[in-house]
Amino acid sequence: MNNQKYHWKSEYTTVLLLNAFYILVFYVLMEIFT
Amino acid sequence: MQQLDWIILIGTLLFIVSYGAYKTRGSKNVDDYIKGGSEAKWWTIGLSVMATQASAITFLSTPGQAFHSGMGFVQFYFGLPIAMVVICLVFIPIYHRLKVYTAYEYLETRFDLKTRSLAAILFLIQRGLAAGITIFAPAIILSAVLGWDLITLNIIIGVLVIIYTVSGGTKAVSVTQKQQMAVIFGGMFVAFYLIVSYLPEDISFVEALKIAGASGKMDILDFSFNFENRYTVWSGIIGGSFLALSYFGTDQSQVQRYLSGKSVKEMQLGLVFNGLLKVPMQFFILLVGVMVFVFYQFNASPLNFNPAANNAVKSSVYADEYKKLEDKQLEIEKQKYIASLKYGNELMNAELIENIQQINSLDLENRAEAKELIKKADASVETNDKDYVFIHFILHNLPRGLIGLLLAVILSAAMSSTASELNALASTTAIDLYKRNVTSEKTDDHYVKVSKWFTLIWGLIAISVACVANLFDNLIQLVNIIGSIFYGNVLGIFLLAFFIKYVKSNAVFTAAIITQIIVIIGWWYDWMPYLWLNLFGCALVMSIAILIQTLTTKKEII
Repeated sequence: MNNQKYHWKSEYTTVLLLNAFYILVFYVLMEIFT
Repeated sequence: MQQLDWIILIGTLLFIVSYGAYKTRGSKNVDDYIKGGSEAKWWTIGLSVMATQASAITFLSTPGQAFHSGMGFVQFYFGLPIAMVVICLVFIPIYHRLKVYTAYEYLETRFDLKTRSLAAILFLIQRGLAAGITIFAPAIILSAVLGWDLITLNIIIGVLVIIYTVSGGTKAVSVTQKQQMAVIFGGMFVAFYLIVSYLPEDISFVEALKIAGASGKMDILDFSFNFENRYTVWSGIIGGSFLALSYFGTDQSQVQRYLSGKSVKEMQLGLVFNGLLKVPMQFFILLVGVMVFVFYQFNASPLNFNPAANNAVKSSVYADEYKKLEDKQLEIEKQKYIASLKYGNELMNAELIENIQQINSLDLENRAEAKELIKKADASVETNDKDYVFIHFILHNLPRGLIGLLLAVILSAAMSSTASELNALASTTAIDLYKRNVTSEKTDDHYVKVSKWFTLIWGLIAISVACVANLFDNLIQLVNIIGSIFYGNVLGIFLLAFFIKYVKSNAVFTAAIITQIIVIIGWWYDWMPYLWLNLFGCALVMSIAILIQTLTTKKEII
């Protein structure tokens, strides 16, 4: 069972990129309002 | 509370409970009862996972957290999407291939029965206590604010959850969670809209954000490497990934939500859904708290939001001193009003920002003095009022009917988390302990009945824990400590199972026992802040297991 292959899907890239984008948006908001 | 509020509150809760029980009555087999017939779609799984994690305390405490400390708490969730991807890649395909009912069942396939039983027992101890606190935590706040009887409230929340969870099992949990999430989001959006609309006419949403920013509430990100700052981008990404991995990957109350999926793809998409929405959802709840903060820049607020704290000091010999602080607070609030209005209507102005910050410092000093007086008047009363800020706002400012809706939000959140916990506790007891250790030659119908009985028993235990919780100081913290003592060890066992093929069952079992003893000693002698016990336990069990395996393998070769 430990020899399983891991199948990367485009959805995972979307999750990670979108969350990176959220952090970017938070950074911009912080820069504008503080 | 007006008659309309009662109608909306009772109507909403009774509808959800009756619909859940009716829609899912008569589960015929174990697969139906424990995995919901394995037919859940991704959006059901996603909502169910989110509803399980978001307890009533999320909606009571988080806005209060933002009110006092700003938006920085959102960083705590930055690691969650990473954990979702790891679980989708590694955990789900294995759980699905082995067709397990519980996460611990997998440990027998990989190691042996004793390791499976040990992990299941550790889960039952920790989650059994936590289920009681999931009921108790909102009940103590609502009873303090509304004057409702604490024991009655504990029993009502517990019994409502027991009715549909016993009747319909996992399917009832997910069916009701969809409606509970609709009530929760509907209520929170209405609350947000109303808070913004209650601001003075010439203060728009953008100006409100400017005012919050001048008071330091918009310091969302902290890139420093200072370990004394609890919430930083780095602690969120590293520590948050680790915590989310143990919670979503090995805690049956979450694992059971995605095991009910129709296929691997639906399960994975359910967690992807959670990974996409969790951070914005927490951001939104914190933003509600920040808007409540701005609202109180223009409106009077109590010196302490906990009514029990105010009552304690006002009926003591310190009443006159407290009155002086209240008068001083009125003056501070007048200054706040003028400064905020001026700042909101002008461009960024360093002088005005400094003025607002000075007034905020005065405000904080005055509130700190008030807390000192409250402590002197009654040392047992809770002076940290962050859990009471949002409920105070709801009860004193929302119109008729909406108070009932927002209370339905809080109780729905309490019920959705408790239902998942009872469901998981019963499944683990029935499948990992009863079926595997006590008996295995019975009909499906027998195991469904047994699971229902275990759900009822765990429900009664949770209500009992909630009813005695008030007798102990800091019980919520105690439950968190108990969680930290066990969580790291269990995650370490799972990580060994998934990634270190070399390590066999006896090494893991021995390492888990040794680790648990060392972690308990470490906690007893206060080696580190208790949250770090998670990481310590995980690293320790993995190191000891690898060491034992290496030594025994060498011995065998010799």
